[in-house]
Order: sequence, then C-alpha cells, then structure tokens
Amino acid sequence: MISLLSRASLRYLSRHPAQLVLAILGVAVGVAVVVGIDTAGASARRSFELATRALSGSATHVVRGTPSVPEEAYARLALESGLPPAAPVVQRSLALVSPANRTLDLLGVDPFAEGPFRAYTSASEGFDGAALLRGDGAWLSRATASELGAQLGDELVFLVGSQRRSVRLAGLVEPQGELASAALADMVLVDISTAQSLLGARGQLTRIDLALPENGPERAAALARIATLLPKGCAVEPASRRSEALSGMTRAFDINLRALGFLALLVGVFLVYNTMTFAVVQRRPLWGTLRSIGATRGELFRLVCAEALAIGALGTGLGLGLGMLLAQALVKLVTQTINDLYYVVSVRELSLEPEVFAEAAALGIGATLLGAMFPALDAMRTAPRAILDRAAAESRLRARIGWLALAGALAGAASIALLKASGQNLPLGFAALFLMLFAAALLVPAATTLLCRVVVPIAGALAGSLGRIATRGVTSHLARSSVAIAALAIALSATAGMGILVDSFRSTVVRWLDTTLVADVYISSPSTFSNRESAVLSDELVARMSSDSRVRGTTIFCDIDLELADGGKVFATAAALHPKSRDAYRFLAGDPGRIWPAFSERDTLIVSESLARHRSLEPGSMLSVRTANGVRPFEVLGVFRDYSSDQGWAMLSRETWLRGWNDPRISALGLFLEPGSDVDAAIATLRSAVPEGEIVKVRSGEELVAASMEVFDRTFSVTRVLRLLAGVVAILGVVGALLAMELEREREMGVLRAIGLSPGGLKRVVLGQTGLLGALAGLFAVPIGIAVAVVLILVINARSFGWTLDIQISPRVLAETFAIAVLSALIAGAYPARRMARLSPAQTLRGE
Amino acid sequence: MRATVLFVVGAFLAACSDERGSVRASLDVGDLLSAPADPRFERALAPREFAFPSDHGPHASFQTEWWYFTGTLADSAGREFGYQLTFFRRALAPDAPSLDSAWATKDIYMAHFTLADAQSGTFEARERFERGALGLAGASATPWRVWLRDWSVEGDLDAGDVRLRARDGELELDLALRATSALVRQGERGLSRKGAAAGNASHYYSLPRMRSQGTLALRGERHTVSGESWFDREWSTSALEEGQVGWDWFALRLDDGSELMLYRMRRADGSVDPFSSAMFTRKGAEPRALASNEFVVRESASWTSPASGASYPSRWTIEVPSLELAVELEPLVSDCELRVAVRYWEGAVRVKGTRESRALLGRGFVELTGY
Amino acid sequence: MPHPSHQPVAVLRGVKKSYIEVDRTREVLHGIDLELARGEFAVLVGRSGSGKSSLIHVLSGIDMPTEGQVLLFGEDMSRASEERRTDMRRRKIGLVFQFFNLLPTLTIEENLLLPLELCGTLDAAGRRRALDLLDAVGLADLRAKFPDRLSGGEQQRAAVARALVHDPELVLADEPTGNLDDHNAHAVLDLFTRLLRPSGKTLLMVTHSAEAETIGDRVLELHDGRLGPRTRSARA
Repeated sequence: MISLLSRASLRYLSRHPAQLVLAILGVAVGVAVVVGIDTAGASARRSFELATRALSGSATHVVRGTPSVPEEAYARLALESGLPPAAPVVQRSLALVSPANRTLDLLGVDPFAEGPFRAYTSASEGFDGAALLRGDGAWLSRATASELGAQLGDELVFLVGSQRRSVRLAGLVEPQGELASAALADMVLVDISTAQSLLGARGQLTRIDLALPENGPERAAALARIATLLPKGCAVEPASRRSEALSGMTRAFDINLRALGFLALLVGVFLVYNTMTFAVVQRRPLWGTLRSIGATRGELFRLVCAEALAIGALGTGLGLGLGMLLAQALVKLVTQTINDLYYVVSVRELSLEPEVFAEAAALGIGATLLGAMFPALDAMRTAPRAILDRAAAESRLRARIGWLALAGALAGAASIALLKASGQNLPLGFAALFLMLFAAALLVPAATTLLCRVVVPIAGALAGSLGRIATRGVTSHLARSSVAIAALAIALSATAGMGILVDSFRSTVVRWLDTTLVADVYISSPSTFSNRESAVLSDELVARMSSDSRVRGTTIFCDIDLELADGGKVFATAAALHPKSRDAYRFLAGDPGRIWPAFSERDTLIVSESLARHRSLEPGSMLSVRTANGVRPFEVLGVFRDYSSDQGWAMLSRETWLRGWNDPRISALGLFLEPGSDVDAAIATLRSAVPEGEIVKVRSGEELVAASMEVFDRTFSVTRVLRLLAGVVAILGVVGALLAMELEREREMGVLRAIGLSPGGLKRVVLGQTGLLGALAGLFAVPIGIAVAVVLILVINARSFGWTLDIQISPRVLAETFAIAVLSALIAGAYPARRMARLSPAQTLRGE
Repeated sequence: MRATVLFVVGAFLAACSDERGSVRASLDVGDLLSAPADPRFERALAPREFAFPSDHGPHASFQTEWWYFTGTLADSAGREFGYQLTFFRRALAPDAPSLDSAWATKDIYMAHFTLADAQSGTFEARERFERGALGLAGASATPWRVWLRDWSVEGDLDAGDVRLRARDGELELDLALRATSALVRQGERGLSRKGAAAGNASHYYSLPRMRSQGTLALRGERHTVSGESWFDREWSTSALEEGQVGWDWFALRLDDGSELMLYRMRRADGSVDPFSSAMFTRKGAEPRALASNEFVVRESASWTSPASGASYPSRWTIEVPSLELAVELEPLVSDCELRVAVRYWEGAVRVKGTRESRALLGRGFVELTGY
Repeated sequence: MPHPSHQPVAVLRGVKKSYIEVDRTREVLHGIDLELARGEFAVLVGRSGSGKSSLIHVLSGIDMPTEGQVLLFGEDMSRASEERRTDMRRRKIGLVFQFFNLLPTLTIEENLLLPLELCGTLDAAGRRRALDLLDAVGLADLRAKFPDRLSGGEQQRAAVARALVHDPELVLADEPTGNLDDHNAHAVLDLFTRLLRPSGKTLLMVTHSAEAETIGDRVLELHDGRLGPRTRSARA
C-alpha cells in the first residue's frame, strides 16, 4: 500500500511526465555510455585472452628460438625417452586475399603431437585423413568459413611476402565451447609441412609447446633435461609470457579506452545528479507543505531516496540494454584499431563482464541516490517555512560559493601536485585529470556569478528588463544553473581536450612523416603490422627495382623481432640507410655525429622514443639480445623521434643484422631517383617491372603519407564517436536542467505574461536565458578544454605511448566547442520555451 | 594376419578429439578396411622370393605393413605376463606431396604397446602415431630398425638377435630376443590370401619362437622376466572384401616344439570365409598349410567389455582332425581390449590339449577384430 | 458608436467559466453580467472558491470565458487573439495580486519600469513617472533593492506602483491586502484612493477586508458563481 505521503510525491512526478522521463532517460544514457565503452573494450580483451589461451592450449611452457626454432630441436625432444609431451608449431598472421580480404592466423601443427595440447574439434565435416598430409589441405571453423564465404574445396589465397600462395579448404571444424571457438576464429589450421612450405620456412618452427608436470622437482628435472637437448639460441619460457607481452602491448590503448569510459561515467554522474537534483528541488514547496502538516524529516528523506532508487533502477535497466546496443557498434571500431596496430583479434560475441554491470548499476543507482540525497538533505534540514521560500535556498548556496570555489582551487592544486608527483604512473595521471575536472566543476558557481556581473548590465543595456530577467535568472537560480553549466562545460571540455589532442597528434605525425619519408618511391609488400613478419620482397624484385636507370640510391628495410635475453621481444628494423634517410632521423638523445659512425660497426642500435620510455633506455644503455650466435650485448646509441608504433622499436644496421642473424630478406625498399625525375612516370615503370605473380605496393612518398594518415584517422574513429556521445549526454543533461529550471519559474513567467509580455517575448526570455547558460558553459569549456588537452598530451599520452607531441590548439576546435555549447543549450531550451509560452498565465498564477 | 587398420583416420581423430570414446564408437573396422586402395600401389599377387635383410625393412610401394611382436613372459616366481609391441606403416598415397618441408611424407606410423599381468588381471595399452619424417618414426633394413619416437625394435633379425624397447610413463618394456626357430613363410610360400579378389593378399612370414629376456614395469613395479615371443611380418595393399566383417587370429606355441598359426575371416552372416587358413609347424619338418575345411574353432565362453559393451569369445577349442590335434585356449587376462583408435582384443592365452593322444601345454596369442 | 466617456470601461455579459478537471467539468462562474463605469471603484466580495479570482483572470484577459462576452473599452476580448489581449493588458490594465508577484530578478525600480518597457513608453517621462510613483508609495529609498529584501507591505506597495506605472485605465486587484497586516493594508488602500481617484481610473478589487469595502462605490458579492448585491453572509 502506498502511503499518502508517497502518493503526494509520486502524483507530482506523474503530473510532470516529461521530468520523470528525462530523469529516467538521463540515468539510462549515462549508464549506456559506460556500459557500451567498457563492454566493447572488455570484449576485445576477452577475445584476445581466449584466443591466446586456446592457442597455447594446455602448454605450460614453450621453446622459442632466435629467430626461430630449428625443427631438429623438436625431433631431439620427441625421440628422447621419458620427456613430457611436446608439440611443434608454425604460426604466422597472413593476409588472405581470396575469397575475402582478411588477416588470418595460419597455424601449422603436427596432428600426431597435438593431442595433449589443443582440443579443437570433436566433429568435422568433409574430413579425409589423407587430405591432412596431402600438402594443401586447410581447415577453418564453420563460422569463419561462412564469414569468408568459403566452400569446401575452395582455394584460400594468401599473400606470403609479396607472393600469392594458396591452400584448399579441405574441411570445416566445429569448435565446441567458447575457448575453442575463440581459438579457431580467424584461424587457418594446416599441417606443419603445409605451413612450412607455404611460408617458405623449411626447417623452422615458430615454437615448441611443452606440457610440463606441475611445479616441483619433476618440472625442474624436465626443464633441466630439455635445456641440455636444445641447440644454441633456443630457450624455454613459460607459455604465459607471450600473451602477457601481447596484452602488455595494448595495455596503454586499453587504459585509454577505459579512461574514455570513465569520462563517460563522469558526464553520466553529472547528468544523473543534475536530473535528480531537479526532481527534488522542484518539489521544494511540496516538501515544505508536507513538513508544515507534520511529516518528519526522516520520512521525507526516505521517501525521496525510495523514489531515487526506483528511478535509478528503471534508468539503469534501460541503460544496460542501450549500452549493449552501443557496445555492438563500438566493438567494431575497437577491434579495427587493435587489428591495425597490434594483433589480430576477432570478437565473435560481446563479453558481459559482471564488473561492468556492477559499475553500471553503481553509477545508475548510486549517482541517482547521491543526486537526490544532497538536495533532499538540504531541504529536510531547513525549517518548513524556509523550505517554502525559494530565495532562502539560493541565498544558502550563494553563501557557499566562496567555499566551493576554495574547494575547487584546492582540488585544482591537488591535481597539479598529483600530476607532478605521480611519475610515469598512468592511472594516477588519469586520477589527476579527473580531479582537475572536478575542481573546474566546483569553480563553476563562482565563475558564473562573476561573469554574470558583467553580463547582466550588458544584457540590460541591449535588451532592457527582459534581458536582465533572462540573465539574472542564471545567477538567481545558481543552485540549478551551476550544475547544468558545469555538466555541459565538463562534457564539452573533455571532448574539446580530446579534439585538441587528436589535432596535435595529427599535425605532429604529418610533419614527422613529411620529414621522415624522404625517398621518392617506396616499395613494400601489402602487409599490416600484425602480419609484418611475412613481408618479404623477392630478390628478383629488389634487383629489378634498384637497377632502374633513374635510381640513384636506395634505403633497405627488414622488419624483424629482437628476442631479448630476459624473454621480452622488441620490434626492430634492420636498415641500410641512404644518407638522405639518415639525415631525416631526429635524435632526442645522442649525438648524430657519433651515432652514425658506430651504427654499422659494432653491436649497436638506436631506439624510438616510445621504446626508450618503456624500457628506460638512454644512450649508453645496454640491451642483451639473443642473436643466432647466442646472447650479445647491444649498445643503445641514441633515441629518435618516431610515431609509427606505440610499443616503440629499435633500428640496427643491416650489416649488424647480417652479422648476428645472417638473414638477408628485405621487407621494404626506398628508392632515391635522379634529381628532376618524374616520380609518377618512374612509379609507372617500376610497377610494370614487378615480377609476375608478385604483389607489392609501389608508392610515392606522398601516397605513403596519405595511407599512413588513413590508418591514423581510423585509429581515432573510436575517439570521435565517444566525443559525439559525450556531447549527446551533455545536451540531454542540459535539456533536463533547463526544463526543470523553467518549470520552477512558471509563476514568474505567469506574472510576466499577466503584466503584458507576449508569448513570443516570453520565448525570447527563456531562450535568452538558456543561451546564456550555454554560452557560459562554452566559455568555461574553452580554458578547461585546453587544460585537459595539455594534461592529455603532456601526461597521459606521454605516459601511455611515450610520444612527444607539439601542442596544436586550433581556434576551430575552440570555436566549435563554444558553438556546440550555445547551440545545444538553445536546442535544449526550445522545448521549455515553447511550453512556457503556451502555458496559460491564469493557471500558473492560480494556486495562490 | 594382423589388424590392418586404416589407422590414419583414427590418428587424426585421436589427435583432435577430447572425447576419444565417443568418436571411436562411430568407427567400424569393416568400413575402414573396405575402402579401395589407390591403383598405383603395388599389390601382393604372387608368391615372391623373400630377400633378406631388405625384406625386413620397409616396402614403400605397398600401402601397409607391420612388424608385430607378441609374447608371454614370467618372472622367477612364475608370475605370468603378456606383452605386445607392434609397429605399423601406412602410406596415404603412393607418393609424398611435393612440399618444401621435411615434415612432408606419405607414411604414417602407428605403434601399439600392451602389457598384461595374469596375477592381478591388469591390462595396459598404449598407442602412438607419428609421421614417417624427420626421423620421428620409420623403418630401415640395414641396420635393421623400426621405431616410433623412443619405441623401437632393432638388431639383426637374420642372426636372430633383437632388442625391443618401449616406455610410456610407468609402462616399460626392455627385452632381448633371440630366435630359436626357423623363419616360417605363411600361406603359399609367403603369400597369404585374404579374399577372392586378386591382390587381396599379403606377403607374410613369421618367427614363431624367440627366446626373450629382460625387464618390464607395470603399475609402479619392475619385473625381471623371461619367456618366448612370436614375430609376424606382413605387407600388402589389401582390403576386406564385401561380406567380411572381421577376423580371429591365433598363434600358439606348444610344448612339444610345434606351432600353430590360424586365422579365420568372419562373414556378416556368421559363417567363416573359405579364405581362412592355418599353418602348422613341427620342429625339423616342413610347415604344413591347412585349408579352412581342415580345422574347427569352437567358442565355449564369451566376455563382454564393460567399457565398450562389445562381446568377445573368451574360450575356444580348436580341432585339427588331420593332425589329431585338439586344444583348449583360455586368456591369461580376460580384459585385453585395446580401446585405441580402432577397438580390438589382443591377449595372451594358455593352451591345454592333446596331439596324437599326447597331452600338451602351451602359450599363445589371440587377436579378435570386428566385434 | 457611443461617446467614449459614456462607454463602460468593462462589460461582462453572461460570462461562464468552467474548468475541466480529471473526471468532470466544474463551472465556477455561472453567467456573470457586470458593467464597470469609468471612474468607478467596485469591490467584489465572496467566499473562498466563489470564483472571484477567475472573474479577475477573465476580465484581465489572462484567461478566456467558456461562454459569454467580455468587452473592454468597447472591444470584445472574448473573441480577441492572444496577442490582442496581451496588448490590451499591457496598455490599459494594471494587475495587483495577493502575493505581490514582483519579479525576483529585477530591482524594485526595474519592476516598475518593466510595464513601461513592454508598452514601449520607457522614456524620460516614464522614468520620472516611475520615480514619482515610488516616491508616492514611499519606496524611493528602496528602489535599487531586490524584492526579497523588502517587507510584505513594501512589496505590495511596489506592486501597486507597478500596476499603475503605465497609467492603466482599469486596475484589477486580487485581494491586495490579503497578506498584509492592518497598518500595511490601510496604506495600500490609501494608495488606491490617492492615485486612482483624481485621474478617474476604474478599480475592481476582490477583498475580504471590511476596510477595503469602505473605499468602494459599490460592493458586489459573488455567491457560488453568481453575482448579486451585498449580503451579510459574504463577510462570514
């Protein structure tokens, strides 16, 4: 049975359905954005974890080699009596070009050794045992095959280096369970002989999986025996290390994604708080009356909380649903970025993490309660007569503005202190950023009051009393307006900050690419980062390209992985640099005059800024690298500017690489043409000189810049979407705030109408007021946005990616931010304005 | 005659399947064996003059072959054991695929290793597959060696001096074998016919008696043992004919110095195929081939496997009137079912009977397929 | 067309007003006929809920009659557009409410200037008039204050001044003394007499106060939505 008390309160809400809907919608949108972002991120993470776990199967350890494990090592282990099970693996990411374009993981296994490791299938169709060893048989999961549109017997054409190689779809496997499905997503299963032959990797294994006994003397004994059997250059490491290394790669990306989620959470909290505050504040007269007739504070407080709970629960439920829809869309963007930059991951289904739901519920219900509780407490604490007096509440806030501002200043100072004190810690960097935003929010009431002192006379001069009414309304309802302004300002400043970050990033990268890509023509195999190992140009191609009459010099690249003695892996390029290419390197540490002479002489390398930061390297640091001749110390000569990889990379000279690894392959070629040559004509000639069957990209420097920027922009598409979302959330918040604010001023508007203000005039007053609100928020968003950008660029980006970016504050972003603020406020004000103008003044005045 | 299983299919299933049992249950030996072979494989069409040592080694042009050791052993206290260590080679195609990889091969090797302990009624069976590549598994004539990873048989067969080694976890066998009987060419001068169609036959010879000494380990206990082994060697490109569903194979060593090898092909209608046959060998005499109408095998008891539900005969009487031979066979351990890629029963038996009215005892091995 | 000076300021003919409530229609005015002559002070009494405020709202044009005719200065307001009614109110009517209803965001002086601004007569003369009025109501010193700084009596005096600042022909006052003590009530009534009588303005005042009745030329009683002569019961 609902008490009369609740009925009085609920009837109020039911008579203002727009308010109720807005409150629920506000909670829902806030929750949805958080759930969407977090679920998308978590799904990508989970898919990756599943895939790596399923891939290593029950392997506890793996044997790795430099650069690969000779297959004789496996034979020695297999023939030895009494050793734990071992399985050879050849694995590489390859670009599939037919029947669809996709990067797939080629997994070559020995089915006779696989049993204890990977339980992939228990039923398969079109399976013919002989096909396995026939040489060109390949298996796909049914799901992957149908995505690719591949039928049994179809050719699957891969690009291996610059060559087309094909296998035939011999069967479909039906993975059972989440793990196997994840393992087989985007996976081509072939016999190990097929894999080696396809990849041109005769004699080489990617690794040997080992299933060692549980920790203890038995494992130690097995490890010791295995170690004596392995050739030089091979070592046993825990199976988890590689997946740890891989997930470490995306850690920064992941944290950034989570931070975006937090940002959404922050805006969401504001939105929810905002909405609930109004829902309570608005009913102040009701509370006053109820108190006057004897309802206790406790009763009213419980009533408000119960209501908030109900609204929070409804909004959260709705938000979870919306969030899942949002996640569906976001996950595509997220995986695209991961595939572009890190590794192949394919998300088959959204992973519903309990913690995300808990977080969302905490946000939805917690923020709702919190939003309702403060104004409720405030209302309950006051004497009944004073509650009825709106002015009293305002004057209380006005008295507090100074304190709030002081708290804001302190929070701001704390934020700066935290930024300084937190070293390279990324989460603390984010904490400082959020503290900064919080500080800004606390300063909004004071700033609003100050600004209005200037604005009111101007508005009065321009628009007379109506202008004054519109502008003073902002300060006179500061308790409401400041929350709305703060919410809008925070949301917009965050998006502005991200906008400035992306702009700065983009312009820095463009400039860097322009100075770095100095060769006239670039020739590379069409691979992406995740399958770069297979990027190999044929000797014939290299010979033909470099012998063109216009070519005056070349720069040769070979993408490699350096295995470190500590088990880590560093991406590297072995390069024979043309002097012009050499001059394009800008060193942040180290003296080029000393670097280049030593570069090809000794075991030395230079490292990118990100790598230097991740591994704390500086000129003179030593890296223990596993070469084919055993572990050798390499001296770091210098740190160069680079934006091509957030994990960072090292460069060593081709001479050093050949000395230590004797691997002559070439993955990319830069050609310097005779001065004055027609580059386009040269490219046309070079393209026609590509050997039959070989697929390579022959591009000018400009084309390469454009292609790089395309990837760059794709990477930031997630950010763009999130900025948009934050904007939507902010607008929704402002609509709610304004609607509530105007509702509260109904009587005032009624008086205005009674003394002769026309409906159109009233509309202008309302829109003037909301426009001012938006303008103030926009005004605040600009400096806060710049501060956010500076923190993002100098702290967050530096800590997560290790890049130095030139800060580029484009007036466009700032103008956009201001325009969005005003525009969104005007859009938000349109409904209340129309409503007010339509309202009969008699109705608003009745009730006296 | 031995289990000519088309084990490649089984191999992949074993490798890929978690639930071995459920997959196995769907396999039918008859189906596997009746697939027609690639015509490019050589077939056993006529008796051939065996040439040693090369015929001890692999015959790449045939599709299938095996080296089959079974035996009965006892420790000094008289505790009896049975063992089986067999190596199969199966070619998937007449030629290896043209791949640039040392792993590319046409041959797959399979090995079965079992130990049975009469005292405890224990039976343990292991199975392995490996490709005939990279030295992981293979066979060679000189020096003679057949191996699958660390399971191997090697030595000098002509000198009758062989070493057998297999280990899998706690299951171990290490035996030195020395032939004490002459080599027996089975069937018609070593050509053993399995069906009416030409080429459904194998080249087949045996060493029925090899004195065996060494050690075995089972269930954590190590035993020094001695006894006798039987070696079978067979290669073919043959298939089960229509109507044939399986076979029973008996290899008996009798204490009067004679041996009997007998197999009968069973037909779907329950009858015995006329291509069943037997070979009786007496010390110092020419082996005598017996046609299917010269012997009678009666089953006097059966055993149902609790694991697979299959019912196998578990006690037999064999009568060969022309030799005045009548024996009763009883398994050392009743559960000798190999639940590996293809399910079959293979175990040691005790033999008791009479020949020419003289009582005799013996030991032997029985293989039952298609049940 | 009748001569303007002889034309009644306001005429109500058969005015009915009903409100649609959740489940029924409630009629609060059951057919009112009323004429207010120029310069007339009319006092309207009646019990709570008898429809007094509704009558004021209909007369001022901030509400429309359900039936009947409202003529203001000869013009049929019951057929006029919202804009026309607003314009009429802006120029010729002054409203005084029980709860003062000063705009909280404007100072007292600004509150007075607002009607002039709305009429478009915010000139030097208007400003002077506003100041004179503030002086007349004794609030000249408080003119820069916001309404919430003033006492109830002061606020109502300011409200009266605001109602008169644009020199309206007709002043409608809805219980102007209802929220005031006797002293302040007297002061407000005194203002009406002082400021309206000399210029011949028309006043319709809803009141419950005995003193207020005394300034009226005639006293009307609204009884259950019907207008009739003053009875004793109305005072109860």
